Amino acid sequence: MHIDDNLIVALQDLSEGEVVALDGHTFKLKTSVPAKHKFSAVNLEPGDALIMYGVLIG
Amino acid sequence: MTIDNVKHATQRFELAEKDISWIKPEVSRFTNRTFMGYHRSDGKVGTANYWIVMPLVFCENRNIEMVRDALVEELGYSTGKDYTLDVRRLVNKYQNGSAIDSLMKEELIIPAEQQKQRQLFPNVDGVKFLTHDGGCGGTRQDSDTLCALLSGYLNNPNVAGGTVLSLGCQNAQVKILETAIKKLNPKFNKPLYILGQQESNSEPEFIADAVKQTFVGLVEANQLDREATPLSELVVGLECGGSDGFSGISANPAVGHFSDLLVSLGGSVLLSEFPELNGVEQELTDRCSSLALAEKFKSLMEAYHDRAKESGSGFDANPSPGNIKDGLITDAMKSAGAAKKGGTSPIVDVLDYTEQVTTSGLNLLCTPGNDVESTTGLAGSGATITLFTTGLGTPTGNPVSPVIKISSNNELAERMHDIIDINAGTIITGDDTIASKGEEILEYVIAVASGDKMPNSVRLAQDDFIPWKRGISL
Repeated sequence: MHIDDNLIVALQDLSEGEVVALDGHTFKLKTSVPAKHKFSAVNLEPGDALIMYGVLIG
Repeated sequence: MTIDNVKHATQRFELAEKDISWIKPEVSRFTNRTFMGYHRSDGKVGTANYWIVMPLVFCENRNIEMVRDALVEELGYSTGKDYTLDVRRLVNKYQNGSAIDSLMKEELIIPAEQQKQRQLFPNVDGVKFLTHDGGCGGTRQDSDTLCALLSGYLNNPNVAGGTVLSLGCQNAQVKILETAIKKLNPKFNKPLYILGQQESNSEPEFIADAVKQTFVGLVEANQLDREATPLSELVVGLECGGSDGFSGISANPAVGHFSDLLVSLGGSVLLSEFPELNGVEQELTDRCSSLALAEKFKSLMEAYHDRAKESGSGFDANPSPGNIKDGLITDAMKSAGAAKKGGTSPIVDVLDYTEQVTTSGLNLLCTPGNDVESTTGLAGSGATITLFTTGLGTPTGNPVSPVIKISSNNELAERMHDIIDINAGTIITGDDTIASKGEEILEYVIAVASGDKMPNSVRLAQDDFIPWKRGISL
């Protein structure tokens, strides 16, 4: 949604193992992601900040 | 990301003097457009002409329903059903001596579209009956707030006048209502009939008086016609309810573009649901047109947050089970999407619950996130049309501010087509852009404001009314 985001929204149901391309990057999904849900663009550790729409959301 | 690996968190925000410059969208094709509105004596313009009947206290709810049962069908107004049966035709024919087979051939079904032609008062769009659970048994502040809200409803440009049923002994005394009306609008001069049951001779006489007064009020209200009005007179409430993970991507940004268009044309929009602005306070305070407004917003948010914590809860508990299942897993994520409805224009005023809109542009109004309480509040502060985005589908509306339902996804628009007016799901599939959908919304708003189109929530008589109770019961 925003250039600073580390979360990406699935517009349709995506499967575990599926490779998704966005803005020149590719992501291989570790779990299935239903439509409307989010996956992270980078590997995250507990306590990491989640950014969506350019703001901290979790 | 799920609720098991994610927790709500927001960034702290700071107030500072900011330079507000805003790039207006291209609006030239709308600049000379008008809507057909009802002009009130105080200069404000309604998109509809309603009479309201309301109780000062819950003890009068049943009497409100008696008045409604006596008037609504008889006067030809919508009962929310798709059709009515005109039994009067059978009665008339029988009384004129018709034979049995002639009676059996009589057409009784009147589809909803034809009902308007049977209206005794064609310039009165409806008689609306409010009921609620307040007016007594709570704190004095709750009764004061209720009276302020009811005053706001009477003051709404869509309202021609009102009938108020009081019991007599309740916390919400008649003089509190009268004072609240004068405070809201010192020049208030709409017809207002207040009846007290404990002063009447009997309940049937009390109800008959209420029916007669209302009828007489309608005779006068029917004198007003719609006139061409610039779009700058529109005050549109912005609402979301039953949101999903697409709401912040499709429907809300489309409403945001509509907001920017209307504000560019001199109109007003109201963004509310403060718990669903938790996380985006920095952006909003940066857009406040004065430091004083930013401070008012900050203190309203903090007071609300403190009250939530005192009750053993917090803003983080805002998302509903439906929200979470469909992708909105933290309140801050929900807020970032919700705030999109307000568009990008500067914030010209910040209102507490029941305060009235006085300044053109984007206003913030403090209400709960709960959609019916918020929609109730928007109408009470002056919204004459309300845009309501939804991803899961909510069958709700408002008695005085026509609610337009906008779906965030195609699947909902198809499945609940009887309640959805506009589908923004085409943004997800790429068939529409945010800008094209925003303009489509503006065209529909102009049509509804002129009485040319009726949103589904109005057709279905979804007259939901829930005042915000901030105190405890005593």
